[in-house]
Amino acid sequence: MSAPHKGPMLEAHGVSKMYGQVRALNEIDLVIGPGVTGLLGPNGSGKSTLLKLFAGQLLPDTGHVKLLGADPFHEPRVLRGLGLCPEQDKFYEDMSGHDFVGALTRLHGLPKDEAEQKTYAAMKRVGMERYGFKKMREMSRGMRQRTKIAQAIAHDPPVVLLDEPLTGADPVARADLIALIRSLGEEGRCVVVSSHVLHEVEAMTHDVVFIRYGRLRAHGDILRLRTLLDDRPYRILLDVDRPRAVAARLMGLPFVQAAQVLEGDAHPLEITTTDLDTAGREIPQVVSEMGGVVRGFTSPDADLESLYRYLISRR
Amino acid sequence: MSDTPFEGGDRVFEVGYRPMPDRGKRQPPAVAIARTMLTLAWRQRATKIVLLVCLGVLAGHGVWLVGQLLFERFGAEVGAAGMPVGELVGSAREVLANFLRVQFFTTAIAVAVIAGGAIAEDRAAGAFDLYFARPLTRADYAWGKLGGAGLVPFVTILLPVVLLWLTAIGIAPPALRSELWWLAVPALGGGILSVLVLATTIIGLSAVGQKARTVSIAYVAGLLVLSGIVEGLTNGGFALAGYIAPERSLHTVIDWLLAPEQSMLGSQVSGRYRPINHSVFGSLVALLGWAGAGFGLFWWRLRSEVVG
Repeated sequence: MSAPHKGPMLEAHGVSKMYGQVRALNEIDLVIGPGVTGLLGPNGSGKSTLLKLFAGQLLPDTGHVKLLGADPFHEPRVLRGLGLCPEQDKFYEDMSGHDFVGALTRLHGLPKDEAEQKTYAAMKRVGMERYGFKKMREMSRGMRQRTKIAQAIAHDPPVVLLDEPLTGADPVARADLIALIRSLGEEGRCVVVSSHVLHEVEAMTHDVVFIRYGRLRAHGDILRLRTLLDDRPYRILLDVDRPRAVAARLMGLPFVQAAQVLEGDAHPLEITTTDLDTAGREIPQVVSEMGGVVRGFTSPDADLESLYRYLISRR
Repeated sequence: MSDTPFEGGDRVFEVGYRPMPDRGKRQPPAVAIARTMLTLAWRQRATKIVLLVCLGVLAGHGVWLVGQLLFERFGAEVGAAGMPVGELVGSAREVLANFLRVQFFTTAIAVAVIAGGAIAEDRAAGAFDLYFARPLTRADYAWGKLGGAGLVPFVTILLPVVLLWLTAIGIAPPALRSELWWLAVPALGGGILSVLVLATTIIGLSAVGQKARTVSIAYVAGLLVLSGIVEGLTNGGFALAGYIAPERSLHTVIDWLLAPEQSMLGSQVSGRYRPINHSVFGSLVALLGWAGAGFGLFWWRLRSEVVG
């Protein structure tokens, strides 16, 4: 093994990309290090273009992209440190999964025995060791996804780009793949996961990149990003006894903007606040002082889905 | 929210870095590309059948050559009966020339079956994205595909030529052996030309085709139709049209290289001696033109589909 690359694993500086008259990416500045990063955005937002730029398959019109400190477009040697799982579901249908992964692994110049060994290890890691000798055409969508991920990690790359890796996987397979992706990140790899399924991304990582209309909308930890959106208050749903009395008391607190009693709801009291942390600390204390207890405390606005909704609705 | 939402300053990037995979002793990626292409082709029954046909052509010419040389060696009485051995069973030159001409056609079918999907299948399987996310250049890919496609005529034409030549050297009468030593050069020249033309043209057609089977059928049909049209045109007085058909140009060059004379047996095996182009140089240029067009088409498509 050669020495690890020091510095950001993926970098985009002032990157723009045009397809004819359409600007797919616009002045993207992004630095990504080890761990799992979710790449989010609506269809056509530029996610796949960004992944292709990092994979050296496109040349930016302006700015520059670096993979492990090198330009992946002009220095294809650096691509030995990259594993790409593209979104497409197309394969050599007559090949077995094992042969497919083996053939692609050998493209890294590995001798046959070593490629075979790495292929077997990768297939085992994605849970395909028993089905790897099936032909691709005979595999379920979930098996094909696993095989596609196996080819991306077989050569042990430090950077892994996964474009919609959970598409078509059944719930059990999804849970397995989420665990696998998390473990790839925990091993110190830079794993970028492009996905539309927000709760699955949330299960993998709290570090996200939002892109819309080819522009970088946000990058960072989900909760920290949410706190930056100070023009968007949080709703908090509380399950408490005597919701009217609690609402009246809470309205006197400076961080509470509004309180609404929801008759017949499992969480009968809805509070609106701009400071979720303080609310989380002080509301249970206030309710306790009133002789009650907070049985439920949830904020539908603090999750990734809410953040996504806010970010894509901002012009 | 801040105008510059990216806040990357608070990260410790040097924790947990993975080393790059070791480079060590590596095989050229072109070898893996050729291997994958041939592995995929080998799964088809048609590949095995067409290779058997090529083997049959080789076996037939092998028998002819061995018989002819044994006649040379032991059949003095045939000559004494008033018919020279050469006129009856031909010479090693004729066997090799005839082998190159016939095997060009059978190998054309073989490359169509084996390499027809070389690029068309990669496109259909979306393999470009997977290939070029690896340390691979377009040149590596081109070498891999050309190597894979070229291996077919190499095995069915070039190696058999060497085999036939070695057989001839081994069993020829001593007086004939010195002449046969030099026969390798023109025979291999014809073989190399065949390999070049077949490998580049099939790769070029595969690069523009969408499906492997369509490419295979179009290649063989195109060769036959072109040959028929050209023959009709040349018979009608358009001699220049002869240079359009690759098999006719190859025929011309091979005849010039090997200077065979048609024997009685030869006319039985390969039929009436067909007319050839007037200019050897023109035929050679035409063949190289086909090879260049095939490779050019391939490279043009590759450049338009794969950036970098």
